[in-house]
Amino acid sequence: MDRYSPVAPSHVRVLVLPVGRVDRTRFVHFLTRLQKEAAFVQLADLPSDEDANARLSTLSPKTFPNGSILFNYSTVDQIDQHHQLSPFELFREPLLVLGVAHLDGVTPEDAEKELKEATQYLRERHPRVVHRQLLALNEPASESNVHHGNVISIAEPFRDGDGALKKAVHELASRFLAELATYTKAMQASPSIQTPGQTSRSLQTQPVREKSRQIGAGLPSGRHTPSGSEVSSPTSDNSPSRPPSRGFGSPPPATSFNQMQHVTSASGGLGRSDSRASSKSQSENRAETQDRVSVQGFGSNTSQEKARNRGKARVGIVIGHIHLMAGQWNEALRILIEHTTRSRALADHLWHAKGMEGICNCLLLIAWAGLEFLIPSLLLQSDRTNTSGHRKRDSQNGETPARKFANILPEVFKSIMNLYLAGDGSLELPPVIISEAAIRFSKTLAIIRRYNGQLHGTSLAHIVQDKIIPANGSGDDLSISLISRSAVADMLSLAQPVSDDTLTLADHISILAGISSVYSILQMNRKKAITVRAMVAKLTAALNRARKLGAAEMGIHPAASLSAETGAGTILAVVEESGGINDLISQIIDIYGAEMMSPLPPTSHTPAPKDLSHGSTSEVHFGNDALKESIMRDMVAFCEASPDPYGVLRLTASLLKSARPCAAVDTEPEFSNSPIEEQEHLRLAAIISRTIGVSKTLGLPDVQATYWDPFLVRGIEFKPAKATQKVILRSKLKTAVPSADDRIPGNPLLYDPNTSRPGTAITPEKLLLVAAESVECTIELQNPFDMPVEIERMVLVAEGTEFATSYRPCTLGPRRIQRIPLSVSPDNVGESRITGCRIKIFGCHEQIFYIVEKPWTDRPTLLVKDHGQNGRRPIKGVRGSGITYPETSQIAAKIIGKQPILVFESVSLLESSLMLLEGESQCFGITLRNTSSITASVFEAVGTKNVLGLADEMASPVNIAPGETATLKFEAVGTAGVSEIQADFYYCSTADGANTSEYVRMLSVPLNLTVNAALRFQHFDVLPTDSSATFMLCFDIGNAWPKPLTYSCEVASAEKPEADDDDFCTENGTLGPGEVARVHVKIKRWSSLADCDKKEVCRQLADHLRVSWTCENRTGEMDLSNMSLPTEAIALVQGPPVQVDLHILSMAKQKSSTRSFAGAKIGSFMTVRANLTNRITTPTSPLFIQLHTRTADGALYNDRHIAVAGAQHRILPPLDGWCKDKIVDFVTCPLMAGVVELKVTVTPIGTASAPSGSWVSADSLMINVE
Amino acid sequence: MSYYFTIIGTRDNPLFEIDFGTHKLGGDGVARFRDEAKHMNQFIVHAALDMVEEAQWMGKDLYLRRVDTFQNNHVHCFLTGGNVKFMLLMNPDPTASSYASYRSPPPSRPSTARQSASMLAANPSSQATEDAVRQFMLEVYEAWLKCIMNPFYQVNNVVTSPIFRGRVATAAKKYL
Repeated sequence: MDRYSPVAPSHVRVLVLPVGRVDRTRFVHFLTRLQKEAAFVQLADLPSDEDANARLSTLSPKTFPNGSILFNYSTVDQIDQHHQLSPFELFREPLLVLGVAHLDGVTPEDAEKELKEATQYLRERHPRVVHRQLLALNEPASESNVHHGNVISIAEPFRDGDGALKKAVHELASRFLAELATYTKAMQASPSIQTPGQTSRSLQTQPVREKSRQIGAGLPSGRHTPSGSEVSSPTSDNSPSRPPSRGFGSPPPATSFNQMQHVTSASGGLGRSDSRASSKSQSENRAETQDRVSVQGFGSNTSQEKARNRGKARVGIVIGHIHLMAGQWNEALRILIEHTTRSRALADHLWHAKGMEGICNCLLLIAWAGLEFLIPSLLLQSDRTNTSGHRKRDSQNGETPARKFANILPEVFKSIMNLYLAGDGSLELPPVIISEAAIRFSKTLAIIRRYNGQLHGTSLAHIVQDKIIPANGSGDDLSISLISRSAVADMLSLAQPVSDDTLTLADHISILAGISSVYSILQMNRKKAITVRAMVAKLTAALNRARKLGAAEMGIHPAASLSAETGAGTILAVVEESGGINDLISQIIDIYGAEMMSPLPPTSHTPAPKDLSHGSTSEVHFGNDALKESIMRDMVAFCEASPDPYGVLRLTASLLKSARPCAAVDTEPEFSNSPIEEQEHLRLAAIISRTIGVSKTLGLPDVQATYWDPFLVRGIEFKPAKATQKVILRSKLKTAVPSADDRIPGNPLLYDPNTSRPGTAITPEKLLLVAAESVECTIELQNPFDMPVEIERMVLVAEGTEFATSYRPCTLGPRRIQRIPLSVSPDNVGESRITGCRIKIFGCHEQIFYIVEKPWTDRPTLLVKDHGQNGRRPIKGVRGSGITYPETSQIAAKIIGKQPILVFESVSLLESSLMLLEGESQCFGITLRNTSSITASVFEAVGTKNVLGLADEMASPVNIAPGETATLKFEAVGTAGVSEIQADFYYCSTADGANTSEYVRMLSVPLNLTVNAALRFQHFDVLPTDSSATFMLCFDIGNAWPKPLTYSCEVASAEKPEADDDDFCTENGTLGPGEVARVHVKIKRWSSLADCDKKEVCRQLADHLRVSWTCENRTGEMDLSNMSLPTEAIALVQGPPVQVDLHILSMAKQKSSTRSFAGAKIGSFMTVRANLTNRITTPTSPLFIQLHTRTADGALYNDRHIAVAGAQHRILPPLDGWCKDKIVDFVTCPLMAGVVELKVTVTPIGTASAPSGSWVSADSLMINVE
Repeated sequence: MSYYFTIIGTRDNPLFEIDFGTHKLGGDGVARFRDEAKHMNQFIVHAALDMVEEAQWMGKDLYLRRVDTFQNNHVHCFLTGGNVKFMLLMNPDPTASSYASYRSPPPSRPSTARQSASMLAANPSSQATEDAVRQFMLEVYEAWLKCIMNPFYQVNNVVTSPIFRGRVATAAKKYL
């Protein structure tokens, strides 16, 4: 039962106390059962006790079976001050005391004794209560149990929903009613009842200003109440030592007319002008109140009579309330109406108001029970005095009483409130009464308003039973509801406690809680928040004070908020029980627009990447930063005082989160203004570490915060693997030369407008990792805060595989983006995506952070559609416009099976370097070792081109078992200018198959090579020979070696001129150190020469010429490939494009090597045939061919020696490319004996492309004419 | 007599804050809120937003009159068409209004009684107060419209313009 239930005045307060030894949990369980199952007792259910029935004629349950008794079970006795309000507000006093005894395993004798003692004890401790009752809990229905005196025993007390409890409570209720009847009789006998809130003694302790207000009342007690024997309750202790009433909580005076209005309106309505006094200044106040008192005294000569009547009315109102409690609602209504009317007539305002409240309560309960009722004119009259407009409308509509009642309730409550506030003359009610009444009234109105201003089943159930039924959609239909929220809020604001010194802390906090609950019914979140904040601040102060006092008593310095003496058990209990508090804190913080971190450790659920921005796009821009910070500080203080280390951590982390703009920061040092100064970061961090430290020493488990920056991980970068560990795709083996700085290809353009087009983006290459092999990577972390962050553990998070990570703890410095190295090795084979990093930060839960590479910050949405607190929630359909989310990136990786690793073991050389003379070659072996756990298969070994190569072609892959070695033979050739050579071994695992494996590895073994020059070539030149088929190469050859060298130049056999005996074909010699010789070599042109460019000519020439040397035990062959020839020489080497070959048909050559023919007879005809060959691919221009004849001495051309038939020259059509054997015949006839030389020359006929005479090709032969 | 004027955006976020004292009756125009009160003012105004949301549907006037009272503070509101709220909190005697112990002795200035009679906040629901606040609000509204017409101003952003601040101060001097 709620203290602020709208029908609280009809509650019967039951104090439930444990008797003897009762287990705490059992007791609590039983109490909950009572509260749940036995709070409402229908009178009809009560057992008919004939004996009792006779005794209580007025309160017999049979007279009004529809009624109910509302029990309010509680375990705490209200503080004394509440008891003093008792006859005025009877429901504050416990009327019934229940002793709960658990007689389990106790012998009947002991039990009886115990119960007897308990009865005695209860009687002593609670003499004032109406009825004391012992309840014995017989757990396993042990029938043997005692029926001692009036003990009610309950079987199966701990089984929920068991009927025995109800039965017992029925019996209890029936006994209680019997006692209550006695009490009523006693009450009826008393002539009057004192109104609470009156001080008669110890004025000295009052503050000065209160004193002044109470001057009038400060006269002998009973001035305003009838003199004579005052009985406040039958068992009254007649307290002369009653402490001074604290309650003079009146509305704020002097400067505010707001409250004054209430006073004036109330008193105006009742024809009392004198109570305006409260607003006057001190002196006036004093004078006037005194005046008024005297006036009152003289006003009526029947004052004694009036006082007695007042007293009677008051007693009647209390009796009415007793009936109300006893469930006799009809009777109560009758009594209340009668006496309230009387009190009203007698201008006993406070009791008039009290009676009206009781009537309202009666009507509410009667309506709840579903009975017919009529609204008493008393309420209507009070209504009429204020607003006649309402009445008219009501009568016009002809509404049901319930509806009418709901409509007049606001006005009735208002007038009751005004009466309460006005007080009785200078007598004012204690603030507790006023505040609670205001809360009750506003709660009633708020509930009615919630149900569209109607009093029907659901709304009444909510009012009476506190059963909350979810309101239907049209909860805010203003057209139906006559009660405006602001009106309710106005009434509620009267409940706001304005002074501390007159309210106990417990009351103050409780009232604030009541106010906030009504605000929450009204859905006025902000109002609720400010109330709760005040409440929490009060609680914090109270807790701290209590701790200090406690600590001082224990002799402990109270400095530490979470002192070790509190004990882990206590703290855990606090934490366990503060679930509701935590919800409340979250709610309040949410109302102010701040965001709480999730209390759950975030590893337990994997948040979607979108959640990164959770509470950071539009939500972050909600509310006032100063308020957010302030409220969070308050809450932190509260959690520290509680003490709730979990709450402290959660809130501090949330505060830190809000301390920075929620952003993945840019590297530019442009931090926007932060709501919290930098020093504060350190302070908050200190709170966190201190809390964790203390919790650890206390042994509290798992006191950890949630890290406050979701954008911690800004990038993960894998270092390119070392060359020896790099895995190469076999398909790329030939095309790409692997190198260490082989990066993922990026777009070379700084700005590429096409990148955004679909399909054009460069997909980054997949990261290739090898299972169970560790790789270095760096993780980029951001820390925009001003404090260092200690990172304890980091693990990569990937889909598809786990990463074994080795990591050294390190510290992330303040305000920076830092790269932290990490070495990871994947466990499984397959495709994988690295999505983030699981990081354990000191004092925080281990959390998964996604990779946010691009800088991102939240932008406030420009769309302003939300209204009020709705801005906290996204609007359907509007969300997403203009809101960007941070992009998380992933790293795609492919993890392949284990790969072997070979290392270079040794080389079979004395030193690891070679010394060679130019052209010399040497063999050596390179030994490799397999350091991995699987067999490697070397399928290819390549050396530096032209310098190093395998000595023998590799026939089959060389397998190397784990741990074993293998040696491969290499041969190196001394080449000028080469100082470093390397041997590359390509290998893969045998498991994959040497020829089929997709991935291979490469091992490079670098070696040093020193090459000394042996022979030196200089001054290359080419001379023409007499034949167009050959040319002469000549060059200087020098010895650069300090020892004599024997050299040998040789033309490759195929291109040797036909004559073997020609001296120029080979050239040998010995050169002393530094000696130079000129060498001439005659070389026949080869076919592919004419078409080549200059370099190619040199290269081919070097191929055809072999120059070898010998020196002691060294031999070598020189490489002429870098020889350079002048352009003319090249032309000479190449020769003319058309080769002409001259011979005589039907005549044999004299010697194959010469070009002379013999046997030609004078006068005989012979055919000289010129054979033309186009040696180039392109067609020639038209050719001009001419035959020249000469005598042997070559001096003269003479027709007498030889005659030529026809012309000695011809013009030939162009020759096609590669055209061979174009034959031109000249018929000649020698006329004289001797030697005749015949010569043909071929030149192109000038065209645009080839000018005439650009080249001449010639051939000649000698004829010996006999 | 001290005033706290703030402009609240659509998301409960303050866009502008200023506090000033009265210029009437020889006031020096300096707010005399205590440190504690400065802090509380924001909370009070924030809580009053609930009442604004209630009051805004009750009439068609942009000026919502006095919407809330918290202890000794009165909050008046003017609601612009863009759901931006001008909130004026007035406290007749901030030095006396303590939130911890409210009822401290009234100020001892001898002329208080005479002055407070004509002071606005002393009678927050009086027609004179409402008129003065209405005029003040309308003048601020005019300045506000000019201010938000700045193309560089985005909705719900904090107003930092010194000119706007000056105009608000002038309006305060004129009417409050």
